[in-house]
Amino acid sequence: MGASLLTVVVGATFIFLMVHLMPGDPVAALLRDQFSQETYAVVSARLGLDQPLGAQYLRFMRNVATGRLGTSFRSERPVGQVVAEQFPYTLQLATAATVLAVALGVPLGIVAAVHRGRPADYLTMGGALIAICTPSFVLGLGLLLVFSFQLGWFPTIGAGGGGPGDTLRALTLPAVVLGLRSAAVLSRIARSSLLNVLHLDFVRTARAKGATDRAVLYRHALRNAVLPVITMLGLNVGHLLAGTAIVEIVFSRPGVGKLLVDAVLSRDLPQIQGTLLIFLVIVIVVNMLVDLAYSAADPRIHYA
Amino acid sequence: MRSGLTAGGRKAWWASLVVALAVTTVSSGVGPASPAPGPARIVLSNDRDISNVDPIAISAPADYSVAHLVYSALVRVKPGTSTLEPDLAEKWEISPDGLVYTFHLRKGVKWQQNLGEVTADDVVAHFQRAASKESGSVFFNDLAAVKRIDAPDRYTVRFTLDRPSPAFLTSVIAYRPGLIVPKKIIETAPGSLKTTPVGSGPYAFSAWHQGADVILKANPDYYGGAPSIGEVDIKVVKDDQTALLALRRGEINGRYLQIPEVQRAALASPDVRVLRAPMPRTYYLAFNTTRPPFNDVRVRQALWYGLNRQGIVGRMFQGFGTFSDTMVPPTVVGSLPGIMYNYNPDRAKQLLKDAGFADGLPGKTFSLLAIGLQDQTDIAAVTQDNWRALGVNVNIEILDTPVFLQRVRTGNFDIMDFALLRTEPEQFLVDFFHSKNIGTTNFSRYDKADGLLDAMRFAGDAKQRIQGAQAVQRQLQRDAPQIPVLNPTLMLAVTPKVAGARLELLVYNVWQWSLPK
Repeated sequence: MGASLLTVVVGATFIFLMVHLMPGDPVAALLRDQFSQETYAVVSARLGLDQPLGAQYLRFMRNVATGRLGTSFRSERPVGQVVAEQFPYTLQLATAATVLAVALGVPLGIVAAVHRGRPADYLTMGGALIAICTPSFVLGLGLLLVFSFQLGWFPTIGAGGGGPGDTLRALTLPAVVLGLRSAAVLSRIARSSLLNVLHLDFVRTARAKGATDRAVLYRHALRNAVLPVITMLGLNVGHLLAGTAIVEIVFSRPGVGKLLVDAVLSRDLPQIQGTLLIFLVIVIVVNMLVDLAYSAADPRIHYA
Repeated sequence: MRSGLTAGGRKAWWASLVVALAVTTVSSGVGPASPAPGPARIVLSNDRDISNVDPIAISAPADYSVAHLVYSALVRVKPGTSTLEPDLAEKWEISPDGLVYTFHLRKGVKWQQNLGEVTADDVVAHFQRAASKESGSVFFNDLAAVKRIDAPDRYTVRFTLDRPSPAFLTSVIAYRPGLIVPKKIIETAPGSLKTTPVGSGPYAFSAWHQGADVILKANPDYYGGAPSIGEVDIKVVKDDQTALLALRRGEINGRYLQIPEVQRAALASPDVRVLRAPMPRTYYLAFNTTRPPFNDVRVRQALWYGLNRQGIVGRMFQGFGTFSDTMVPPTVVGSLPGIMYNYNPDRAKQLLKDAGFADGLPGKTFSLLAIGLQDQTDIAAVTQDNWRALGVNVNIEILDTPVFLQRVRTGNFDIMDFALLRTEPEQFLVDFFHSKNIGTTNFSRYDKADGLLDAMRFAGDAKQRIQGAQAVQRQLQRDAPQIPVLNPTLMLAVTPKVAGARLELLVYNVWQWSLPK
């Protein structure tokens, strides 16, 4: 826990420095091409950008310590409130993508491992390679054209909102785009991890005791092969959060990813800082949960 | 062997995932765009979310498109035309010397949110705020000519100017700073106007779901009668191509399309109706006239002759645009007609030779800054190619808007590629070429036309104003601190069932729309 708090403090400092060292003028971005020197000075003072960097840093860290994330330059609304409004959409998308990744990736990895060197293996791993290499926006636009525009099965834009059915329909394609790459990565990890385990002594012992292939695979091998998959799921959270930005833009969905991109493009410094800080905390918490999941999956692992 | 996850544990794990998905799915049901029942609902789309809809600080078309529906002005541009028509003021007079503007307000016009009647006091308070730089107004310079604003009675407002201003009605009263906000809000919570507009226009602000949409509801008390469209949902769709797909599927009913190939696709689509006209936007290249060799007018003229603008319009913009030799688009009053700089590489080479660069400028590479938008990067690419043939090499630097503005404001560039959307000649010329604006909006740092610009600004009447504007444009043609590249096409695409749509400048006259059965 102490290490996690230290990570948050160091991370917050890094985020502050990174955001303030970023080139580009936040006041000019706000006023665009419609401003004078006088307006510039007034707005700059109102946003606190006329203060020395040290004073701005102290104010930021004081806010972080008290759980406040400042006020957005653009909308002048509390950053935390803005993120809280957008977060359910991103959580929904990331959860659906993770479910899809696990439901698709792990079974395909098992199939590939069990049928190693045979067509099913080549087909699965080849498909995984293509999924990893295909950029999200290309896949997204392709799916939009086929399944939304041509077939009319899913909406082209938005996050639904007419009820759970609408929301699920609007969620399907974005979740496929975001989850497919993760599924591909998981399938490769599951395959290699399972192949490693299948050659270990305890598996040979289980076979010698007369256990069926199915029992060997599901009762013995798979349970021991699951740790790398859990590790990858934890590491994948950062990738998922980053990946939501493109998916949210392609499918015109609200969400924290798109919020962050908009904030960067308009140099809304408090919004960038606050959103990144929340991302940081999420990644830390998820990785703590992953550590706990290790001990649940493997009783030999204990935390003092 | 002990099991890491028991059968029950596995079930619980899966159940928790399903619950997480279900909870977030259901919770989002209270978010954006719960569609209202009934046919009187229109979905529009902008490429950007709103950021500040306070009339005194509007700097983006997306903000104006919302404010335009929520607020009323004293007078407004009649939709689909360039003429003015009464709005809150049922009539107005201008004194013979052009110094006093008197507006007579309609009686009984109500503010939204039960804030009472719109009176002259509201109008005075609003314009006093718009004229104050401390309020954060970006338009206070436009009101610099106003000496006094007063209300002789409850329904009369009088503006006294210290010098004639022929553009006063069109560039102030009927433009963004002219959208009137209630005095009660100014006194109590002016900050709320950024994201919660309250006006007296045909639509009342209902909700903003950041990153998703803005919901407006018909104002039943609107002085012109409640609009036929009961609800307007303005969604954010960044990409023109996706917006066209949504239009063709009927998920949205109206959108201004700006990317030429999407405009062409819309024109060929049987399931959308298209309205189009020349747009008062100028794509242009500006030279940093303080840096050699661009401080030599012959070099600037040579590069103007050496740019194939016809080719850019025809190939890159697929014919959706025109080009002229002036920053003021042909559709704006006072634009100077005629083309002097037809594409002529031989003339360009001769001018470079006259300037002492007979072999071009080998060994040097100049920075050409562009914002990463497709139209502007297309122009930059053709420019690079055309000028290479003259022996002038440029390195295109694609930047995002904040970095671009920082570089050009501080003069850290050789050539820049930009676009302006304005409605008045003063906005194209004074803001961008008067020496008082060097360091802010005079990106080319040009200072040779101040006298002519001031003469135009302080013209006594409309005729003098046009003559003044044309004199400035002739000077800019000769001195070439910029190259006007092209004026694009304004295109509104709507679904076929929409009736009453008129082409306006990136705003929607939805209160006049209907959806006949």
